[in-house]
Amino acid sequence: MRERKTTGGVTRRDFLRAAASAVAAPYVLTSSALGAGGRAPASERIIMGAIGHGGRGRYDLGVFMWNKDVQVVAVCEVRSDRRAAAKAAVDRRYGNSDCKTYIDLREMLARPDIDAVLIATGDNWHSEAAILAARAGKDMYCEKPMSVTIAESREVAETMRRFGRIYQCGTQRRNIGNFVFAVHLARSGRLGRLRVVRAEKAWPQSGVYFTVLPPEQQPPREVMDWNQWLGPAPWRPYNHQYYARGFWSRHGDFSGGSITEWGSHTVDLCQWANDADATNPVHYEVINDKGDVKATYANGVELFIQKGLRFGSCPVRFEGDEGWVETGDSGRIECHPASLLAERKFRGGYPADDHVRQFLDCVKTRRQPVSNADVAHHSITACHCANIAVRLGRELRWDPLKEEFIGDEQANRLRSRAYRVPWRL
Amino acid sequence: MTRKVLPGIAAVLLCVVTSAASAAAPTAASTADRASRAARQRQLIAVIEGDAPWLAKDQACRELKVIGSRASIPALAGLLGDEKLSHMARYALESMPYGEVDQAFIDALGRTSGEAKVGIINSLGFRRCAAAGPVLVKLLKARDTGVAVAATAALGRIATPPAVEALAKLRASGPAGMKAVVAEASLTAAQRLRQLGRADEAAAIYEDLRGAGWPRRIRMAAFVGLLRSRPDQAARRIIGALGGDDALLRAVAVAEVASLKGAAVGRRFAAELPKLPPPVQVLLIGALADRDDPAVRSAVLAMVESPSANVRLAAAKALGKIGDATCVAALCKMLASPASPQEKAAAAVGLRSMTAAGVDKALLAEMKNARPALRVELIAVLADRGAAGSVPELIEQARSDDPSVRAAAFKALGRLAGPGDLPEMLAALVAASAAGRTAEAELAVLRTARKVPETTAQADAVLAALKAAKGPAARSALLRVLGNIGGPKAYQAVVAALDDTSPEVRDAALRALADWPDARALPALLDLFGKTDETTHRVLVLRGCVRLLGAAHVKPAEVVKTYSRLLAAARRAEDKKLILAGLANVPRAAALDVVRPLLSDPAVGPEAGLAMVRIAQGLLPSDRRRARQAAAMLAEKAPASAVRDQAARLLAKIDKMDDYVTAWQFSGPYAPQRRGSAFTTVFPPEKRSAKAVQWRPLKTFKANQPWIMDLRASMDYDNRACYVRTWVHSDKQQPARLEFGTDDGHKVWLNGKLVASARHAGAAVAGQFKAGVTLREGWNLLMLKVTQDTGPWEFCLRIRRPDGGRLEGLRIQARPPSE
Repeated sequence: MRERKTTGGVTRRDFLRAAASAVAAPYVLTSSALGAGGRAPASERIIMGAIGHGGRGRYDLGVFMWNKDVQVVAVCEVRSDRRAAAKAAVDRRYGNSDCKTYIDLREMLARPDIDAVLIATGDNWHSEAAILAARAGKDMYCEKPMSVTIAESREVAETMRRFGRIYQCGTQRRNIGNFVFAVHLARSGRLGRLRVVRAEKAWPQSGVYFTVLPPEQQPPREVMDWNQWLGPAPWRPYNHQYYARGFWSRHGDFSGGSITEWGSHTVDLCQWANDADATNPVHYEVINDKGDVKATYANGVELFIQKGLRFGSCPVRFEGDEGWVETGDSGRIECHPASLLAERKFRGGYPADDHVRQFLDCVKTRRQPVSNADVAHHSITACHCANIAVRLGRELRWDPLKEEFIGDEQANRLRSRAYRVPWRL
Repeated sequence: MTRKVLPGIAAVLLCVVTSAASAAAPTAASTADRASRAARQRQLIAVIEGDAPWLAKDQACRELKVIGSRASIPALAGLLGDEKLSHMARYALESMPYGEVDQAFIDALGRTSGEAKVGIINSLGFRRCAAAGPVLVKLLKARDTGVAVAATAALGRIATPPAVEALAKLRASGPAGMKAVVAEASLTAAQRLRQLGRADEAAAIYEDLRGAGWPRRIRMAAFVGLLRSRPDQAARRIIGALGGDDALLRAVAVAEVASLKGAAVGRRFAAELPKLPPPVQVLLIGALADRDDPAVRSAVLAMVESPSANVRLAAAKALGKIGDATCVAALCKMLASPASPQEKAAAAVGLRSMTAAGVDKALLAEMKNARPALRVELIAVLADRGAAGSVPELIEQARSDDPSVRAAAFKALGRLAGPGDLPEMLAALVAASAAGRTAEAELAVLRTARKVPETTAQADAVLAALKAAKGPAARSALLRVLGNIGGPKAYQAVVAALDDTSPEVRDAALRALADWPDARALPALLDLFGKTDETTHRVLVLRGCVRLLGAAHVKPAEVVKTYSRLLAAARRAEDKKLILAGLANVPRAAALDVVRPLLSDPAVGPEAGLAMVRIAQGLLPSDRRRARQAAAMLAEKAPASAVRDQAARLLAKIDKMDDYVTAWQFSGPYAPQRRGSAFTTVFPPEKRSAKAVQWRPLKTFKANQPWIMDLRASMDYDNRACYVRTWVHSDKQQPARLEFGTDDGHKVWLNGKLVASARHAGAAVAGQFKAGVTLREGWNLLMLKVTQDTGPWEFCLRIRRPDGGRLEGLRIQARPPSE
């Protein structure tokens, strides 16, 4: 008899069925035109386009295409090599050469036969692409982080409501067993009264930079549409280094850096654990020279956006006055008391399969998925507030209802950024 | 590494970017701070109004976005017509909370065109500038389509009465090409009106947009908007849509049911539910479940009996959210029925998820009367629900004649029972032992015993049961439990059982000892290994020894000695291999000496060689000389080619490290003050009086270039400094040359004297920097400061003769000689 060898108990999928607000329904509302084109239902497939084909886009596209009720018919990408790779992947999946390619997402979105889109661009484009898709009558699965500024994600949420679209943010840990279980422990009171939630931020520790790189010879639009890549961000002379992920993902014009990179997942889980999907912390404070942030909710729960948790990437920890739980992408989970875990075991990794599936079901039922635009907006807003506190180097008070900082005009100015024409919120 | 910036304007950029950090000045600014910011603003305005290059003006706008006051508005407004800088001017102005900004934008409309004008309109829209309404209405007729589109969208955001009126006119008689834009702007305006509490006006727009002439996506959006604007009429509209033949509209309508307010709403839709076709029932059941409304429970419960499998499935899922004790029987029936696996799973999840009071009690009653197969499933449900009140009944079930029920009950008890339940559980375990398999019972008892708060008392109840137990099966089961609990009392009982008259009990005791959780069992196991002849027992005991030697807190020297004793007592090659596997993880030179004689043993020679390679690898940080010696010997003389290959690879790695110093202590990271430089700031380690500096061993180096020490792996920071130090012993005073590379800048001191300094940026290249020094006789303190801009943070260093040749005879250690 060795305790560690025991298996069984509730599986990840069982648990998901029990705890997540998945809304899978067997009834299939036939697609082809959930609002676009006005055609009578012709099949059970959801016709999709994919925008962006970097590392994450490749993965997401594969997950979507594994769903039998999805047919991807178009890909949009500003880089020719990736555009060709995306088309090849789609054509290979369907055994034909039908996939159409686009450089400008507006052209793809104008197609009436497309019901939904996958948005897996760089962070800078997430909000504008989502808004354009909604205006065009498409539902969307949009990668995280939702936005670069608070105003952007607020506008995305408003736009989804205005047009009645289904939006699932790519915060797939809301549909992954170990994270769902950890949140369940916190929300169900099994940890006692919740006191502290901890969200890991990505490396490096530092904030974002606004570096301007030296100009290089700009390639032809067909090879790399530089203007389109920049999107709503300030114009810069072309330099290939901008679109290296390690560079733009720490550049303030294109991303929120380490806090939004993982915080869009980990802060999001903390928000969920604290039953705070419709609000944010009300106070932000930088607590050390590593740029770690302590944020406090109106209910007194403290959120630490920090480094140093265990169990792989995107770990979180929830502490109550009777217990705690910590888990991460390795699938490992530790609880106190240990009996909370019972015999549950979870696979590692951070697959998007269930999250994508939930989105597809919601496209059909028109019910809101677990990472809908309102939820994602509140989560990413907490990240942006923390980033602004780090940037300004001072404590900030936040009014979650008005969505404005209290008594800090400079901080309020950083809630938004003017978009470059032709893009607008 | 540092990043490059535009050549030629680097100075301008450096000036602007650095001062951008000043935007981070405290809000509760002192008079001096305010004066400083005002001065900075004047500088930035001068940049904008002067002949500075584009980038400098661009960066000035970026900074003014945060610190700009009203005084900056005229200068920024002056850029609004500049094709290249108009956007950055808006970037600064758009978020400023001053009415003057609105006026500046409105004024600029008259002197701009094209993209600049469109951008200004967008900014006015973003700011919801009511004063811009009249001029924007005029721009609806602009020849430039981009301007007209932007004005339409902006009016939608502004949503003042004139704006709403203008949009209404456009909807009625606007150009066909603008239809989609007008519709979108109208939806925006309606949403804004609803937010402002002007629901009637919003509803009028939505009603308008539901007309057949509008695109379908707009009509759908308008329908949803109308439901939300007129909640009093929403139920009626939704029911109307449910009777229609538009599948999408039905889905959209049903999805709204969840958010409708009022108790009557639930009852109304519950009454509709039986009348609807199954596909719509599925949708409505899901929406009703989201309402968390008890009024709909019975209607949903009735759907569990639906002839449609999809409806039954949806109902079972919904009951997991809204069900109570009255729903338990129906879901148990579904769980027991030969329905589809999906339905069974949905019923099980539903039973696990219900949170209403009384559900546990109802489940317990169902479980007691269920047939064994269903009872097993319901016991698992109770366990997952954490139904602690079911423990007495579960103890009864643990005495069941049915082995599957018994196993399920014990499994559940392991999760639910408390220390007070132990005596009864132990009695059940003893009873179960007569029937054979007791694994689940033992595990349940173990888990419950571990809940006893005082660890020293965790074994007490089991020991009492052991004293009372008669049969060998029961005694064996209890010994296995004790072996897992551990502790001195359990240990004594298990050791005593080694002399039991029953072979079964003796076997159980030996196995418990071999699996003992801590090093307490080591002496007894060593003793057993010398005395036991039975092969299986010898293997078990030896495995126990190796496990405990690897995990226990035994002194390294003692570990080597113990392995040596085990080797001497080992009879079979398999035993020796097991011991070698353990020894391979002991990075001690003495371990090499123990293993080496076995190299020539044909039965275990290859394993001995591989163990030596592994030991030598482990020795690298502490004794590179001995590690190299072993690797060289193995590479040349090991009989097995696989060993020779591995040893050769290790040797090559060691030789690559050459005479680079890898023994270091570090202190840091140290951050400069705001606007300060990590390179020039004098941090404590540089100060002679610095006694309180904390030094730690530096253990991180690059795996593929082990001579390069990796500071970033120990400290993940940008814009910092770190100090590293080592002690070098020279037998005499002699000249030498330091050869090193750093990423990024460095300063080097030998015995407190600065011998090299460079504000370098870029990779650490071995030998890129050289500094002639004189080593004094005895110990020399060598200290480096390595600064970090961003990216990798590394260094490497070796000490050579002045002509570059190898300098023999030095001894190097990271710790101070005095320690």
